[in-house]
Amino acid sequence: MKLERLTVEFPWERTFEVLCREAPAREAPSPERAQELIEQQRESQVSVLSRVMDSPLLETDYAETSDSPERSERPRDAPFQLRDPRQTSRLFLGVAAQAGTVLRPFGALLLDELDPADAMLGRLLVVLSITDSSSPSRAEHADEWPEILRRGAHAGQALPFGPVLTPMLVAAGPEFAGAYGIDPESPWELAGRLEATHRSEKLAPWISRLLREGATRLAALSEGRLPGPTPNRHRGAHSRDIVLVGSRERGEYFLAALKSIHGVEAQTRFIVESTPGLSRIRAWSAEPLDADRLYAMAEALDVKIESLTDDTDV
Amino acid sequence: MWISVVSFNQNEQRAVDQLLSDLASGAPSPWRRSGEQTIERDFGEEVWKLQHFPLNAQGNVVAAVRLAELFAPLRKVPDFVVFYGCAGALEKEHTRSVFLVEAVNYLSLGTVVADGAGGETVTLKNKWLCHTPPPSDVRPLPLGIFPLCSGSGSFDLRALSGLPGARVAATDKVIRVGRGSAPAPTVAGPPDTYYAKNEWTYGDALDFVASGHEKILLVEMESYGISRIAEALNIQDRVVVMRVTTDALTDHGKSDDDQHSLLMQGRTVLGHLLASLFSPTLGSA
Repeated sequence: MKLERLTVEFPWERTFEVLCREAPAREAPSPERAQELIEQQRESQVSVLSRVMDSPLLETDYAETSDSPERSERPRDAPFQLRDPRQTSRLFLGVAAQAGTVLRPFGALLLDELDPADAMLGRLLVVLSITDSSSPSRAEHADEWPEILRRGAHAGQALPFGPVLTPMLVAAGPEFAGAYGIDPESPWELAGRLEATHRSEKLAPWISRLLREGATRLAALSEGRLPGPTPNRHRGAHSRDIVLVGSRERGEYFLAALKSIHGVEAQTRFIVESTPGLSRIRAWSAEPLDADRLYAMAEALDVKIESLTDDTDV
Repeated sequence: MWISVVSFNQNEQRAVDQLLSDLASGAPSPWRRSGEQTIERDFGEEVWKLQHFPLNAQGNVVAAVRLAELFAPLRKVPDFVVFYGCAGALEKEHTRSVFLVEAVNYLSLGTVVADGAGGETVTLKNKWLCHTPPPSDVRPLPLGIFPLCSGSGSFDLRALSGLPGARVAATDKVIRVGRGSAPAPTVAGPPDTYYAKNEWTYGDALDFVASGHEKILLVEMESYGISRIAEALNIQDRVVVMRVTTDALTDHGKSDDDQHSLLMQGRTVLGHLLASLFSPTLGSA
């Protein structure tokens, strides 16, 4: 947009006035307003996640092609892929922490006047806003987490902390779900909601990783510490050996496609195979690799799978 | 709330310095000086701080290092970092404009050979830009992303500020060539589209990047380093790059005075962007 037009549309006098404006009078805290804000946060969890889970791709990557399974019905102006689950969880929890910042003035006592599930989600957001910041008081709030989780879980709702935060907390400790009666299948409800906007066979394993990453961050925050830097990739928990018939070149296309699957680890590679005309790939992955999917991918790439070992939990 | 503004060359530095002076201009402005490169104001119970870091240098590495330093452990970190600078536009019609950087490709890794006439020829290895056979050899460099400006962040700064986004081709050289014609792919996706491994001219590479989307394409020398270090530090949702297009790739005739003038004009748009970041509620009021 032309600079001349922008200086007319956003004149300096107006910008100066905005930047110099007095802070608005603080809203008088009331239980009704707190309830409204908390309900908004709960209802917006899926839409916020839906927004932050996309990341653009290289121009030529497959999400741009017309028959790609990644293609969404939503209007797009650029090709997208699922963002790294660790980054997505951080972005999502960052937005949740912002909601907690807005709720801070309402105070714990005021929040406790609400419906139990709303009160505990409100308190969780407030504590999250404090612990997610660089505040030195982070550790002082660590002991609030167990009580919030316990009371929230007993609030009588299937998803007391919302459709995204609840399964993240479940992932942080399955005993949490079991002990307090929260639906351990809640991740599948989240998957169902996201499928409306993200049609991808990668979605289910991606959600599993997202919830684990979110759980890791929440667990660290609940212990009064900030999560550490991204650790080096570690070997996936599952492996398969895939023997291909045909040229090594075709096999390399298959290997590249395999590595583009979320959860497939970078060290997935060819293993030296003595028999001419065969290539053997060992795939490591965070989630089990579906055999039907591998056969379909091979067919699409004009590669024949000679044999496929069972998934091995390593 | 604390926002850091990073500038690169002297013209950009002067523009940001002037913006700080415009704001901390005395009563009735609540902004006050807090050091040579910092101004601040009280906002309710908060303190808003605006700090300028003039790099007096250019390049992907220098910009990335500055960003990493701002987020070094054991120091208070800014809420947002805004990089303010000029850029070249691929098309002349997009000069004298302002854009937020949405995503960035890196066009730099290549080969320099003597051309036999006393000069040198620079080309780019396309394997770093696109998929080339064999797939197991290398992976192309990933796209750098700025989530706040590409609609995939915690909020959409384009919608919030009303400023448009653009794609960037980041280089480590001043590019004075126009768009060429990228070769056709040899293997079409899905899953990936492959091109014959080759040396590409900058014109080829610019065409490749520009053809993949409908965005306006800019060329500058910092956004790739910034985006990748932001990704590594997990601070992508705190980083924004704003560019004033002062010239076109094939029309570098603009003088230093012209660049200075455009960047000075652009500082008011930078102010508008900062207002959007400081307080979305105020900015839209």
